[in-house]
Amino acid sequence: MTMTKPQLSACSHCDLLIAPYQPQRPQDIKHSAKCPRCGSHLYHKAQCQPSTILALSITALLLLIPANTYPLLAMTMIGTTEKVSLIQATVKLYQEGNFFIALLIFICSTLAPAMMLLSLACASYLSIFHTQSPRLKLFLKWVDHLSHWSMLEVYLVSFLVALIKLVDIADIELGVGLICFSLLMVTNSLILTLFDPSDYWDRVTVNGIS
Amino acid sequence: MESAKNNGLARCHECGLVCRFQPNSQCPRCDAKLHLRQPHSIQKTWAYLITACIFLIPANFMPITLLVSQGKATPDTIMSGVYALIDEGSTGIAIIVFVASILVPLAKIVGIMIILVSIHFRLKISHKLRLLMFKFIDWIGRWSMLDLFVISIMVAVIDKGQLLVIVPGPAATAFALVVLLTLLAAKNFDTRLMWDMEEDNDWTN
Ligand SMILES: [Zn+2]
Ligand SMILES: [Zn+2]
Repeated sequence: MTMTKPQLSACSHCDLLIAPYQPQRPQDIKHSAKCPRCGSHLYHKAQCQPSTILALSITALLLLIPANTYPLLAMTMIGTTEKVSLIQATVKLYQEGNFFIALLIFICSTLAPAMMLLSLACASYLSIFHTQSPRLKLFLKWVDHLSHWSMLEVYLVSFLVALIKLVDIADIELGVGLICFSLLMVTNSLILTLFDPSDYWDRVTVNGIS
Repeated sequence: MESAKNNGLARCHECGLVCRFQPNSQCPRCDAKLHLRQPHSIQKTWAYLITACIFLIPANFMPITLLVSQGKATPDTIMSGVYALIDEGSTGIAIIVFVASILVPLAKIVGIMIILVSIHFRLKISHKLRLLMFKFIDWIGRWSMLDLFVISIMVAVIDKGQLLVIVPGPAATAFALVVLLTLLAAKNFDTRLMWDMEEDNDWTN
């Protein structure tokens, strides 16, 4: 049983009830709307299909591997060269006994982005092929929670700050990891702009209500 | 009278479905427990903010990094790091670090506190302005992770054994806690409470 009746909605920021929007003509369909009371973004009708999101998240997941394991930079100082990848930087903190900081950094720079993209890929796959699956709901919830902790853009800016601090004291060579990481960040931002959770939720099959 | 709550409806916090509210009921679409508002939102937000305030002190006054060179350790606090950057002539980077590590956590704590106080005393502040302030605080909050990421990169790169090493100081852990606590404070604050007050006022008048 799918929901065909237009649903009443409410603004997530101020709880204002919003009447279902029923355009008379196809050209009247709006692609986005704002709450009349608080100005928050209410929805944006998906500009793209779940298949596009699926393709993009698989791309991002593939980029994630070299972005984490290939060196971000190689630094030559006092005769020796040090190559550092994202995951190595986190592991180093852990080895030195800073468990808590290492864990927080690991979550924000590696775990949350990876799990978010993986959940999104699974949710996209299920919303195309198995809308009945109870896992679809679970993945959609994970995407929402994990996206708060995924901080790729902050990491990239931090990397630039570290780079500017380092160029004065050592010879720096940028690594392949940095290119992959930048591409990952761009893909990730693109996904976040295109992905509309309400569109996915509307595809979830609901039992017993109309 | 125009909010979902005043009509006996609840918006599911997970999937956004609006459905009739009954205590202890579940969302028919995603099975999440329904709440009219986030439970104990204000108390939880205060608790996180006050704890963050306490950790803000060691985070700012204890050394965040230690530069160990031939057995001699040079401690750096967040602020002395900023001064060092200015001395080196990287004023732009100094501003970024200052904003991300000192201004943002402080503005976040003070800003959410102002909103909470204004709800408590039912102060007449523009709701739109307050929401805009909260959204800005919420968005900028993640940028305070910047300094921790920078430290992790520096620690990994500068490792020359006896000659030169950078290690994170006690302030780094305190600062990480401040970042985490302020993120949780913002996550637990329910912005709909700001409008509830307005509607309740209309109702009593
Ligand atoms: Zn609103
Ligand atoms: Zn729900």
